[in-house]
Amino acid sequence: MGRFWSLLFLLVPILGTGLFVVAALPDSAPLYGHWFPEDISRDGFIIDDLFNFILYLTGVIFIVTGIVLFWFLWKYDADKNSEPVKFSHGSHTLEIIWSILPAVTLLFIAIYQMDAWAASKMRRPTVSAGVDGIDGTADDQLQPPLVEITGRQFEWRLRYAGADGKVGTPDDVHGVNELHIPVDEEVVVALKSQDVLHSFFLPNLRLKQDVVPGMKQFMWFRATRKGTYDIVCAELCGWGHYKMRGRLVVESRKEFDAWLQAAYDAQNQTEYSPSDTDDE
Amino acid sequence: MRKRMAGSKMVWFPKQRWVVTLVALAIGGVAGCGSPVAEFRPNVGFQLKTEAEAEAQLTSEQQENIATILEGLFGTPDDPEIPEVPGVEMPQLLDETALKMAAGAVAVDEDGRTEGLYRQHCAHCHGITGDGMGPTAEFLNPYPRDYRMGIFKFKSTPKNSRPTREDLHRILQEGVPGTAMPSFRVLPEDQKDALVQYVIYLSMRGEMERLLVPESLGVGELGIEGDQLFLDMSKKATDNELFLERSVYIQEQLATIGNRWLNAQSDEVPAPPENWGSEESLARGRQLFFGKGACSGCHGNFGLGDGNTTFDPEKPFLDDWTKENWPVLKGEEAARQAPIRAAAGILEKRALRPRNLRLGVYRGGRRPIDLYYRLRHGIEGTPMPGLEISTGDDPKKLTSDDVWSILDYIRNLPFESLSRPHEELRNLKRERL
Repeated sequence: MGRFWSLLFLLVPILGTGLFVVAALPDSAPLYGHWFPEDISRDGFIIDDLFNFILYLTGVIFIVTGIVLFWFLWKYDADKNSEPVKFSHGSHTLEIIWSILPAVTLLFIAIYQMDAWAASKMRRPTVSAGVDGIDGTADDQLQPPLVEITGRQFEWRLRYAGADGKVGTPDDVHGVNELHIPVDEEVVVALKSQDVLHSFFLPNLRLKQDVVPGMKQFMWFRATRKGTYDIVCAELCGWGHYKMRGRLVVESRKEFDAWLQAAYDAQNQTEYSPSDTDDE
Repeated sequence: MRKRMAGSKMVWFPKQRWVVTLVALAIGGVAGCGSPVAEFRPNVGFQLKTEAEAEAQLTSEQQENIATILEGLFGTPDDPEIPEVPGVEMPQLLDETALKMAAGAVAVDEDGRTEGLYRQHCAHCHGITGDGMGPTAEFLNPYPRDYRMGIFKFKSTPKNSRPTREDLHRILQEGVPGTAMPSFRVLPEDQKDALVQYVIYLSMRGEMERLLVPESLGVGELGIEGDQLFLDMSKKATDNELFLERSVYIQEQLATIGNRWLNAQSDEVPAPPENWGSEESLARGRQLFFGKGACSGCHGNFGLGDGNTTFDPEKPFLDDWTKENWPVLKGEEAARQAPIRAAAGILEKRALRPRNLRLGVYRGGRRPIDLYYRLRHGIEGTPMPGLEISTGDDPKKLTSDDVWSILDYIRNLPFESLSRPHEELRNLKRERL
């Protein structure tokens, strides 16, 4: 076999890197669209940057270890070497180096991402800074959710706050699987689950939040581009998991208000006479 | 290193192992591919009930004949047919392209169109036959709808009418909150329409089957001699006259079934009174809820669905589907039927609970007109009765304004504190005394 194995293992870093490069190219026919979906949010780039940073870091390590592995296989191939095997009892210095390097790297990533975490999980937008006038204190008035989203097997039930801005009152607008939000506005949504674990995932906004029964969670974002995007469930929640697809419609404030009003009116339809049927 | 390996007893034969693995994979691949052909299942529950009533049993020949007639009319799950019925505008009801989209195995055809939608999205609960007995059905409460009776709960048409297409479409669009039926809103319109048509198709097939069973046993309404129904499909070409003569009965019945679907028409909903939504209307609604409307008997004094009638274990609330699957039988017949019922996978008997009106979850839709239809026409197939409405001055009957007032009360229940009706209730009792 000679150096067959060393060459075979060399293919791993080559093909692995090649696959990533092809996938990231804009016009890669077979893998087209397998890189990130369009980012339509103000803050999504932070997540992308973190992802790319870790990808490059691990990518470099992947290529280096791949080549080192190849080099050892190549150099010490049994067919080409007649020297007896030498045994080493290890190197203390080397051990220290390869313990400290990854530890420092991991610690760096942990600290580097802290702000992104805080921004998406802890710093919910506020309406006012409260009595003390200082942002980030306990008496801040948090922005109320625009809509309460309840995951259940297998759909997303929506409950818009309606005219009074409160969820849980008679003027709520109810919907399912089709989430409308205004563009260029800070939007807060409340998330609940009626049965099992779900995960509310907005790929185009780079946001994903597990939904736990018995817990109410909040998610906030600002969409910057109008259009229709996907909502998916990112936690296997049962046999119908694939059915938990929804539609995210980002539209102007005016369109959003008109839609909400129309949905409210439709929900309050009180009259029907057979003559005004709109025939199919 | 190499020498040691060769000398040890743990020698593998790499080449042979390859061969064995390849052969095993090939066998697995060939055997694993291809599933059994999908077939419509007979309506065993209905057959058993009819047999008990007729005190006779379907012969296997008769059963086969029923299956043959149904297949002749409606085709198979993989290749559905729209029966031709003189006097019924079938194309208005069912469209061949749409049926093809919904039926068959899940696939994408050469033009990129999706096929097998029903099996992809519906069959695991509602069953290939539309019998509500798919593999996941037994885990759900309420059970998935069995289409074969042609009865649907949430619709805009009066009792004993079929739902409109719009009604079925609405169920797909909105789902049925409070049950396991999810919304299919993001499916493209033509796919939703195909599914609605396929449900109608399965329903018509089921309805036809329900006519053929009693006729075969000689207890049908038509009073046809059992064997007159026998149709030999192979004689369709050779002895067409006899075939046609005999199929007249079937055609007539099919026309009735088809026309009921075609003529389904949403009922009118009169406008609510002017004071609708006011405190006054709400108070009146509360009175009617406990009084003339007779809602509290089942839905309870607090609207929690815990009325007196719901606690009688001797008389559980059963829906029409359960009643049909679990008729009251005499000892011997019960013993004969039990294993057949078990083998057919008939879903366990389960009692209904009246709805808890304080949850604010409305299965048939939350629009006032949806709730009006519920009150006015009841929920077909369940003990929920409709309210009779008088236009005259009959003091015992309700007016449409009364119904709207009851609706006012019901719609307010989720937002009313539980302790408040307590007091009201005491007042009411005092008044009645």
